Amino acid sequence: MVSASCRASLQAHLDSLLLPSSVDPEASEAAGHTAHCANCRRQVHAADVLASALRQRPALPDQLSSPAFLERVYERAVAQFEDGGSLVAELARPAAPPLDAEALSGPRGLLASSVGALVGAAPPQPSAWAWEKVRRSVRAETLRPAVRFTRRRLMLATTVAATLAIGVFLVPDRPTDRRPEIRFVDLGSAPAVEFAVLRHGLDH
Amino acid sequence: MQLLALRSALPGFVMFLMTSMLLLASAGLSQSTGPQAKGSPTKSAGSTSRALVASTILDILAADRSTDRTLVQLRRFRQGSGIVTIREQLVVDSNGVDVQGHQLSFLGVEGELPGSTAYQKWQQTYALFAEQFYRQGTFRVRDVVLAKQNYSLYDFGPSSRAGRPTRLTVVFPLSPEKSIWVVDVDNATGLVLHSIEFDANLTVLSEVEVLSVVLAAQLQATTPVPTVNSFAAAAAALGNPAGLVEPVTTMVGEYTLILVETRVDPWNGMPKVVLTYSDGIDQFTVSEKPGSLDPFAGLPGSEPGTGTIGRYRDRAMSALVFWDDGVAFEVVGNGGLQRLDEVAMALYTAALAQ
Repeated sequence: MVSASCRASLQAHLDSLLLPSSVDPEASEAAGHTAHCANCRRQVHAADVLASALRQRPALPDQLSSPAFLERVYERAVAQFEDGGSLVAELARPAAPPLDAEALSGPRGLLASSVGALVGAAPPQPSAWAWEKVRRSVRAETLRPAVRFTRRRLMLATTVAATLAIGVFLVPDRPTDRRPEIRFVDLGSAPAVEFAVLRHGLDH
Repeated sequence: MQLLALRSALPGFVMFLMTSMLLLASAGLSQSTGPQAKGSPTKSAGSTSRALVASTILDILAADRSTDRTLVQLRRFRQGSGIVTIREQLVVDSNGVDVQGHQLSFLGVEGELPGSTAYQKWQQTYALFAEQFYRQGTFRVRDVVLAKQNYSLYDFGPSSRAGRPTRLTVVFPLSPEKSIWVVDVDNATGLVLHSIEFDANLTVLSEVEVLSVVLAAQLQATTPVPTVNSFAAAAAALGNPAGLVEPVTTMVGEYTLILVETRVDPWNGMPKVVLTYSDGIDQFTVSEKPGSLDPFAGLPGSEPGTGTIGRYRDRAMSALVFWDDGVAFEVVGNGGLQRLDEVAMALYTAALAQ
């Protein structure tokens, strides 16, 4: 358990390492604590050694820069995967979300409202019976104008036919409006006309 | 109409050939050696010169209207398989311009004794139809202008009839549906002393032959047939009965209304209006008899709204009869006159439209 004073002293010391040029009044106070705290002296000493080591990037070995070395690394990795192993089995298994994770959860603070929850939630699928009912209603709405139009046509045609029938059968005939049908009938003998006697004498 | 154009373009020798056939046909029917006419006009010198002069339509018309005459003539009919010959007498009295009076009377039946059944029948027939025999049963020029328009005359030289020098003449119609006439025209008077009527197939339809000519007339008192000036006057004479229809003149073609009269129908004794149409020589009549019964009533096809025209047609005659509104209509003419169908149809349509 690190105490607060030790923590503050160590933090000040790290800051001085990062910004050595900056003068921080808390740094002098941290140095005074370090003089009296053996744990902090020990941490500071390690930090100084590590810091100086970290300041110098170590040179890469020449072996690592050779293409053959890198190729051997690759071959070793492929061989390990081909032979199986826990890592291979882990990678082959599809990732499954944790049971307690919510879809589109992300940072919980962004989807805190109820609307967001609804958006993120998948809508419930309607039943087959409901879909059939909807399909029938849509079909009925689509065909209703055509059916209505056809029915109107039938009614109109029926009305016109009835009117014509009434006109033909109930309105009295007016001979002057109709052209008479005249036909010729050939007679077998001459009719009783004077000219028949003039032509045929007593044969008529 | 094609035949009409063909005939108008026939050369003269073809016409001579046709007329020769007609003359042979007429020679086979009769030969006449009647006595010389008494009281003939002293026109000997004129007759010699007249023999060289062809007859004209005007000559024939003028002679008919201006010559007093008493003719004994024979009229022949086809009866059954044979021919019956009736002897008759025609008396015509003129005033120099028109016929003032005429009379046709029955004399006898050739080959029949007086009082025989045939004699009596023909006697009764002439009592009823003598007037019609004169008007329609003889060759006559009824209108010179129309006759010149619708006929052509062909002279075939001298001949002899009733002991008188005549001129053989063929009267050829411009329309093939009309009759062809072969007539002997008296050189002295211009009277027609012999006439034979042929149809387009050169079948004899009628023949009248004069046996004797007396250029004088003594008429017995006769009842004149009333003539009127118009159809309206004729209808008024009958009391303006309902149903009479005045024919439209456009339906008769080159025929013209020449006579309107009212007379009694010989069949039923009822008065009727008779309209006579002529093309100058040929003629047909339209008769309208009010107060007649429908002869087609009750027959199949006589329903209301329909009309029936009874038609009879043979070589010699066409007769179309129909009825409407109590009036019996008759359209009668020669057998070749097909146009009478249209005349009857138009008249019936007008009657039904009233």
